[in-house]
Amino acid sequence: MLSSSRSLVQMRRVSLSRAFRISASQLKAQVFKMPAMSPTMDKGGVTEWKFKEGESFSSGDVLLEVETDKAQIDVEAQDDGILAKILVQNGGKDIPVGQPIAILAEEGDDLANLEIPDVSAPAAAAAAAPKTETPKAQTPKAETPKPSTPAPSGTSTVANPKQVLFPSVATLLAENNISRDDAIAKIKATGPNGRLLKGDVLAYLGKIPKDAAESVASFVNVHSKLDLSNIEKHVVAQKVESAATPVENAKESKEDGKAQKKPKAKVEPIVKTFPLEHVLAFQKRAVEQGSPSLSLKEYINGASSRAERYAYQRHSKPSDYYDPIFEDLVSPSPTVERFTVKLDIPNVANAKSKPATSQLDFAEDLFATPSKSSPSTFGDLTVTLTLKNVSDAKDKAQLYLDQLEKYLRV
Amino acid sequence: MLSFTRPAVRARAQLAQIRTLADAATKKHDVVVIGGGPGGYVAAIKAAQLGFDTACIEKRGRLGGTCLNVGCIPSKALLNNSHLYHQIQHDTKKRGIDVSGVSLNVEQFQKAKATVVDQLTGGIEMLFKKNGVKYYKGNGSFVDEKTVKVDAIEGGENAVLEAENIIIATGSEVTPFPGITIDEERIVSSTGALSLKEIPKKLAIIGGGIIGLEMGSVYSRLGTEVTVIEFQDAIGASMDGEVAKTTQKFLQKQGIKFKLGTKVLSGERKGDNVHIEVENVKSGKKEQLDADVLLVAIGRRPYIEGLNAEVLGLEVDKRGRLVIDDQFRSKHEHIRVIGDVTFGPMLAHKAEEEGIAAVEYIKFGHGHVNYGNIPSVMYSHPEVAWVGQSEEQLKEAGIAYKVGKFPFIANSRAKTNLDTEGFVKFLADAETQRVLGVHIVGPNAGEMIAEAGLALEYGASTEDIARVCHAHPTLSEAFKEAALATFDKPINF
Repeated sequence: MLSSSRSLVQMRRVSLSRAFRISASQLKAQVFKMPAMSPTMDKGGVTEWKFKEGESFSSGDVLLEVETDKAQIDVEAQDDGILAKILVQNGGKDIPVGQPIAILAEEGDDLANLEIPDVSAPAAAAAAAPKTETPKAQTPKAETPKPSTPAPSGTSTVANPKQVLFPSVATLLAENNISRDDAIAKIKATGPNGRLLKGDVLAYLGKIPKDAAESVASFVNVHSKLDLSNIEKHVVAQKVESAATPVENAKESKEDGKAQKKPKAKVEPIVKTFPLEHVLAFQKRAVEQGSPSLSLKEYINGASSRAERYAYQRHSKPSDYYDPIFEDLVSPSPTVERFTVKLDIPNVANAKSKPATSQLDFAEDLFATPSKSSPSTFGDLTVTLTLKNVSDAKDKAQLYLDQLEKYLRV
Repeated sequence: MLSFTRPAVRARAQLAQIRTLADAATKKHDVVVIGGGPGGYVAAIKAAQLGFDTACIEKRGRLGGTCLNVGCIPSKALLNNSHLYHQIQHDTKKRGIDVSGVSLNVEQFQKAKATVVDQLTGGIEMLFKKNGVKYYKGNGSFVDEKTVKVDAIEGGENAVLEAENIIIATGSEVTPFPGITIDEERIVSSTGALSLKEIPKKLAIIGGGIIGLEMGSVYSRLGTEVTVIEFQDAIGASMDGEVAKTTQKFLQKQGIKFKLGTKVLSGERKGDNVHIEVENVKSGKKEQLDADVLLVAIGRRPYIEGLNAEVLGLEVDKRGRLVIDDQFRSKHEHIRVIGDVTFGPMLAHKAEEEGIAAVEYIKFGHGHVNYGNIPSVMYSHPEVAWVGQSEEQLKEAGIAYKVGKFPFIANSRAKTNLDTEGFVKFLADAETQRVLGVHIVGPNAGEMIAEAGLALEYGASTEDIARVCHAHPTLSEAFKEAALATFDKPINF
């Protein structure tokens, strides 16, 4: 093992492994390659060898100084040894990481008889080491490989003859005088890759119900897969301009249709009633001030369409983590219809712009007697919302109702 | 009265901001991975190892995603060091170690965490280099279904990438609590909670899930008065009910207060204080809480900001997850989606598995992730770890099961360590004894759960575990004994 330290410019420790050491024969010298002194280094220079050929060094000695693009770094020896041969002399530059630069021998090796590894071939290969270590696939993208046929849907299969038996299985077989070959041939396996399980043998012996092993295996198998059923898809936001084209609309409605395929309980329409007393009072004030007033119907319709427009706007949350792009992606397009509105405006209150005095009196009477039943004497406004199958339909409907109520309170 | 102003014509965000692409170089790659978190970087390295010309785009400036930068890794550094501090303060005397003058150096405490993060994120960059993955620092966004544009951040280069295969691994972000504004100073997310400049006197946490309880543990050990507010009646999210209750008991003993079945109505910063209004779900009783810091930890949501996925019309579900099929494919077959941004538990190791599997699908047309065998770990003390089914899930599925439990108080190693809280609990099929779930609360639970994962993967019965020799004296003997207790009698209890 070698490690570097005491960089002249910066302090850094990089441990290097001389992995071939373990299997190398004692008499065979070891190749010392240009070490990678930093994660980004791919070339380096030999500034100076601190030992001459044939000199022995001990662990901790600085073997040589290596020059990288960033710094000059001392390389220390961690084992004792002999510098048998220097392959790259002082001043050698741009040596790729991994290229042999010296031959090291063990202490006591006979240098004369030392088997010097052939470094000429590896040198060339090592020069391109970082890249060639991961060989390119012959045809990385020629064709998408066909998925292998899915595992049989049944949970029990023929036992795999190559398996090492579980200790519980081996014990049971021995206790019941069943040979290994018999067990493999006769007992159905429910374990992964045809593995015989204790339950399989127990079922075979009739000690537990016959289907016990299989039913637990199918339970386990179900949970081994990611549950991708019943995914509730968001209607992905479409661009406004494209959503306006009929083609896109058709596509969208198709997607909606797809989503609706899932058997879902039909959404009950939301029905809400609003008392109209405030509106009537407002109208009265308007008339008193001599400003032109809308009819009740006009007013309510106007309020409804404004509330609707309000509901369809994006309502951002005040949060650091509110991200418009993210929200845009996960929420349906603003042009998709969330709900339809049916307004039931009571007839009796259908006052024209020239209000009848009697009715205003009537409204005044109402305020004088704020009894619970009073609004119903001439009918409340009933709003019926039919929700569409869009993820945020309910939220939008609620926004609409809240806003409408605000308007009707005047 | 009605306002008769026209609603402002809201120009919809021009999302496909197609700038002049001429200045950026066009590069071709077999596989482009968008996102360098645990899912993305693992997918990229695997793809390169399988021979693909691979690129990975990351805009954070550092690889490793949420997990390495502001998630699992920094929190574990804080958990471990705060545990040591707490132990030195409270747990040394009875062990015969007299320590005095113990104090916390918050700056160094944070620095230790930062160092680990730096080393690990830098390590991935080295792995990219080693495996030949081209790393683009910048934001990756779709131009069309085969083209991804990289808008460089500092140190990166603009580029236009043409890709045969694209893997989306953009991860997740903190789910905000409606109406509460996170300023990462007094009202913080998990990110801010990892780097508080001083130890708060009072910390309130919305959410009794793993993130909330881990951060609660850290600050409780450092002397903070911690209150956890949870809407559900139990902590620990998907934890087995019995384990969740036991864990709550342990944490309460450590001084953490719990308000379960409690709804947060509002949370507002007033100067250096945060006022939180809560309401008991059942009784409707309202209450006002004060804290120096409020941590919002109610979960995470998929993150696809800046991806321009809408240009391809990629489908998302109601919770913002990108829709995939069982081979991780979006509606475009060559675009696959893995990790937090799609379905399944939001866990780093799940994303890693999917990263490998997605690349294997591209290469071989076959990949494997066993979603029934994804462990969860909470690094409180004692730790909590589980894999497979919980008792509640088995009851709901109508599976007859047997329970085998073994307490650490009866385990020799736990006793010698003076660390005996908790138990190992096996759930096995009543007939076949096949292991269906393992739940551990106790010392080193997170490491021990791996053995349960192996058992589940191979379809082992509890007897198979009990017949495997476990070293003595180790905590893992409790695991073996609990397995034994499921179908027979334990020896040491």
